[in-house]
Amino acid sequence: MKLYHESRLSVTIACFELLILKICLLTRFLYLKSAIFEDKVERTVYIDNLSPLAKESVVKAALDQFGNIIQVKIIRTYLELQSMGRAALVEMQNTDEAKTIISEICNSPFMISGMPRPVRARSPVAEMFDDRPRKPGRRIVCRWLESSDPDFEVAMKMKRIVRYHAKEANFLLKRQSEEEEQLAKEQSESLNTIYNKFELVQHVFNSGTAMRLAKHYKMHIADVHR
Amino acid sequence: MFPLQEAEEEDSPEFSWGAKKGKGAHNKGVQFYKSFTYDGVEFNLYDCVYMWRPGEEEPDIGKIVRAWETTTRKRIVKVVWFFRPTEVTHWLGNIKVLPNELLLASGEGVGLSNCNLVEAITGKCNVVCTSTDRRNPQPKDEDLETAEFFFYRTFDVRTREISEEFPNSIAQIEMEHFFNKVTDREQPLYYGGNRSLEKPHSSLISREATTKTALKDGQQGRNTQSMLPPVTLVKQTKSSKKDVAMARTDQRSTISKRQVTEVVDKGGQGRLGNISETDKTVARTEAKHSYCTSSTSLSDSHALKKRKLQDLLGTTSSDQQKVIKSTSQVIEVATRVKEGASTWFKEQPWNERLQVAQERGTLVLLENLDPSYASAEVEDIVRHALEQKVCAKMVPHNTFSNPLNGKAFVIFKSSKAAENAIFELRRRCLMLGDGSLPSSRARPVNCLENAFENIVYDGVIFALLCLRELSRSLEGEGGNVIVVYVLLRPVVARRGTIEEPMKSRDFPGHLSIGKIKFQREEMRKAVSTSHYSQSNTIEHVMGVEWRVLQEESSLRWKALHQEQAVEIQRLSSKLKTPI
Repeated sequence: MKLYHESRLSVTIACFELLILKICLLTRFLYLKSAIFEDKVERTVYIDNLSPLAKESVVKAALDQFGNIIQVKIIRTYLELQSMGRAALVEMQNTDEAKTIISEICNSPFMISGMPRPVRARSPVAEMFDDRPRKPGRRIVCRWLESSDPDFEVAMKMKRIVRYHAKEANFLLKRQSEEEEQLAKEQSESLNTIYNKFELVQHVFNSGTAMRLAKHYKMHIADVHR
Repeated sequence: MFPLQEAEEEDSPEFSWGAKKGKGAHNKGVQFYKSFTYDGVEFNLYDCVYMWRPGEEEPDIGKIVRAWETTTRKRIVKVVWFFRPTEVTHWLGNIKVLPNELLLASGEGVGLSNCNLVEAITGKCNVVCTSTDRRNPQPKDEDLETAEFFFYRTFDVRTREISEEFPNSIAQIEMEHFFNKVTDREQPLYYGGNRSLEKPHSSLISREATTKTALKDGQQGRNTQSMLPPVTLVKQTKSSKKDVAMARTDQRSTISKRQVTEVVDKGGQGRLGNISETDKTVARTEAKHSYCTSSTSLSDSHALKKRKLQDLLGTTSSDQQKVIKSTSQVIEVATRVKEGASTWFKEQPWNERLQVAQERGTLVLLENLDPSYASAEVEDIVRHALEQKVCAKMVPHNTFSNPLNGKAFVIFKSSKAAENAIFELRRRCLMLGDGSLPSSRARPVNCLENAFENIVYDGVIFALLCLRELSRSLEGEGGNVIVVYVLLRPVVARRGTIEEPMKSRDFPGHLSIGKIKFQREEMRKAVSTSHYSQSNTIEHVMGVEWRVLQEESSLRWKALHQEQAVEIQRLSSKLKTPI
């Protein structure tokens, strides 16, 4: 009888040990997964202010000069205005290439498929990836608060503040897009006037007016190739 | 002596003492006064004042019971506090409270009274006592109309009881001083009050008189019987006035309940629209930190310790099941992924599913989640909290998302389920946390040795492991972002709407010269290839302008997020109980 109990005890211990082992292995697996993910984050560049016309191939061709690109992913935005421009996550082969891109693009304007609005590059954070894995070992606890709870008022207030913050963010976003359109309009106007001037000058030369005037005034002008 | 005082008062608001009351018994240098003038306003003993605490939106209200000047020329007032209903909601329970009602502190202990500098006073407050205690002179109509607050109950700071009985003294001051002041009046005072309908408040008397006369003209001898209908009529018209104090006499009839809610509706602040028609109607002002926390901390520390222990064990018994599920769920989901990525049926790509869900009305947007959650965790949370099987995906952040706020799109099975979920999340608060407590971060991790026993307590291994990981990850964060340890956050839900992708080819900032319609091949190619701009071109100048704008905008967002983080942190520090 005693032996039976002992063997049963040892079996249960073994079961528990297996369970522990399973849990440990699993957590180790989760850690590994998150380590891989973190490495990927280091190697990626987050680009925004992209034109909606830019496709993945365009972005890839643009950044090929900097190094080996593993993957380009254009992010679908659901909540923000589309006029802000698209964003893309570009995964490079190693961290150095990614850092180079970011610093270069920050220093001088780099244009992709359209000018003169340059793109903006930053190093991404984990929250920008929507396929990120769970954080290993994180424990989530949730609790419902009833209206009789002492914390209920504070929680309702927090919710209200969150909604208010969202409205503030929307407002700032709208202002930003208004400013961008304003700048674009100004630049477009100045560009057109400059082009008109240029055309005028071109016309003068092309139609031979300049040559005739030069002959008339006995001035010498250099030959201009068209 | 006097010139000195005046010199130092040039900067601060004017102050001067009024009538003297006596010298201190222990310390002859202390002089008590009956009144003082501060910043042009005269304050007498037993006046009610506003006192403002930095960091609070609303000032506290107290009654001056003593005023004196110390030997060091400091001017002190002793104030007995009035509690706002929101400060004592925990002990109010189902008791009805009206807006503008206060509760007088009574008993002994912390929160009854404080001694403060005179400079903390921000103004006089008109508080009227509407109690029917026989020692209380009943307030007149004009008093009620000009009153800012009223009280007729006390809150005992020691026993935490709310009662309408007044003790003989509060803070060693005779109770008479707390009731309404007796001023010289020609009319006899109503001492005490009859709560019966036969003697309604004086302001009703005038109305009643007119109706009585009207009735007398019409029907004779039916006045007593017809008293009730006209009184109720009068009462209902009363509700159109904002006189909240009237509501006190309406505690008798059921009609009054409706009226109370009406008055409450009008008197209460518009933001809190959740007033239901049941007896639990409570109009609440905004919550603020309670005085009682200091007094409750001692008694609650036992409860708090117990709760901490339970946290380590994995929450209370009712939630134990949930936590077991969630931790075991962690294991299960992971293994499912390992076993195989093949699915029965090919799921539509996420974009299409979102569109479909929006049309069907099953799309919900959850906000204020922890931004580092993975989509699967969100699904788990919804499964445990709302008992619904859903599909969720976190919205990826972009350069101007709030770093503290995580959002997720959740697709429910049916639009009714989605509506229910939104309703529940709006009505109650779902608090999410990670169950970690500041004190436990320092605990060393020693799981394997105690593994055997720890398996019995659900999820403790995970808890211990996660504590280590948490501390590491939290220490790792830093840099430019303000790290705000928001341990608890309520989930905000609303209908999900997604923007239609813009089909236009316009992108502000990408210019083309209008006149060049037919571009030559090389020129077109030149535009489409990506390049750095050369510094001698117009393009460069314009490009730099855009860069300036971009940098400006990123700075703006940073500032906004910092401010918002501070606000949230301030609020979340007011949460009293951890999960």
